[in-house]
Amino acid sequence: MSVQSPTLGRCGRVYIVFRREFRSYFATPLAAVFLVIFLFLAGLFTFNIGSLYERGQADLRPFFQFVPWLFLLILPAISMRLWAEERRTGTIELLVTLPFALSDLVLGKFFAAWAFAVVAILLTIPFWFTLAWLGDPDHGALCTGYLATILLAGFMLSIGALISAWTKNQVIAFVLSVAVSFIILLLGYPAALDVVRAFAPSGVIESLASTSALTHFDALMRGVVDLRDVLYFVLGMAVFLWLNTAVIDWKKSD
Amino acid sequence: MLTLRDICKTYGSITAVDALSLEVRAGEIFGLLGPNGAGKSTTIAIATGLVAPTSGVVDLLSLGSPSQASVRRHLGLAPQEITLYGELTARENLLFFASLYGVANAAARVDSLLQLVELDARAKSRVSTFSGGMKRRLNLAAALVHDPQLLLLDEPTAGVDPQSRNRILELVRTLAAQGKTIVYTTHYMEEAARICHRVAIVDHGRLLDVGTPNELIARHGGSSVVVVIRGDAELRVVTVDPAGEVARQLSSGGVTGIRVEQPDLEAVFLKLTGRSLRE
Repeated sequence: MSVQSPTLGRCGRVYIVFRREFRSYFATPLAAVFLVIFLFLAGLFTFNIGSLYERGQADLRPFFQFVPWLFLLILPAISMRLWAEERRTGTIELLVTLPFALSDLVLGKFFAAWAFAVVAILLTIPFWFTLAWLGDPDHGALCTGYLATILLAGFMLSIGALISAWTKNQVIAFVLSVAVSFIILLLGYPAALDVVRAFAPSGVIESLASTSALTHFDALMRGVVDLRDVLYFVLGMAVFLWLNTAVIDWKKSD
Repeated sequence: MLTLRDICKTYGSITAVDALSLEVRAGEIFGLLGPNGAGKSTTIAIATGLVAPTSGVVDLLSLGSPSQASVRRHLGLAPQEITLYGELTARENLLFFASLYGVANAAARVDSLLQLVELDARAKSRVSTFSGGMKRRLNLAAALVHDPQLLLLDEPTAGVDPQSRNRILELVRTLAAQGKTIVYTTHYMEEAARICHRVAIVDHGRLLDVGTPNELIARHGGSSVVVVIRGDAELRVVTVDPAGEVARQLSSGGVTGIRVEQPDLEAVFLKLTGRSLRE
């Protein structure tokens, strides 16, 4: 007699993996510590270093300008454990022999990490309330700014998840994720492009800039929702998650 | 139930499994016996679809290769490593795997499994607080959660105390009595002799022989030794007919003690491979 039900679909499995993974963040005080550090640094960058009050403008430009660089250190700390931990504990051996597609696991774990990052981002919403209380901000621009921030977080987490799938060592996963994300961000940083501009033709500069997450993030942050910018992040995530699945399949017997 | 035909697995110049053919019959406990590095775990990994063989055919229940997800649904795996989430309770761990399999009435199924492995009293304890033996039993329950027809147990008693080992062995016997087919790898020959209906001895990735423990002992175990004690003197008589020799010695009188040392699977293994099981 079988106890299995044929009704559980792909979404159901993704949700089950998502739920377990998301809950695991809160199984230890680590999640609270992480959120506190993130909020502290976001506040520091926005109000102190970014001089939100002194600027006299009702926008969150200091927050949005600093958040990619904050993500550079914070998000790899979330993504480094996604697969490296499963490899270290050996649970991956059982997971990859379960009778369903590996992509279900990849999606469930990724969405959990992204949801955790979104919780952290949404905890900065009081910054928005502060602006609305002090002045008359452009709420549409703030909305697209937060959309860009959430998309950037997903994009960087998908890179981190791919790297985590590659190694058993969480420290290596963290360092490599920081390095790769740094390069992808740096390609869109004007000062970095100026260095390349000295010896590369303008076509190359434009191509480099268009591959950077920072370029597309800045475009959305200004309040203009261009579908190409949104697609950049969505397709980027899809590609990295597809590669993540391929790496798990390739290294499943390691 | 499970057929491996001419399976080879090579990693570069290293041959982990060398032309291995096995036929596991429905309802039996099939022991895969060999020292560390003999190719047992690779064979199990091939049987689960985790590792693709370099050549050869794997078939489960005449449905095809376990590399297909639909075929893997019929097997349960308890890997050599503990594959549980330490931050979850015993019940949450089983519910997680039951949910992934889409088990109907998962809560009731999980509760019955916790009773089966005698962990119902610790159902709400975090797995990180469990002893090695308790983790092993829960690992076994996780492999059973979807009620598979074939159970692959890779060294399920590794690193556990004798009491937990006995519990696990009894559990395996209970599962076999319930109709499960079990492939059991171990390098403890006494476990194999105790619970397995048939045993395959492998070394260097090759199948050396397969049969019931008694058949293997009869084929390769050699002679028995009758130890006869007369006062302070001990006489060791090598014989192929221990019962007859005991009768002869007793009838000759003056015997103060007598015992028979029969060949076991360890002796079989030594004969076949020239080395101990635990080397």
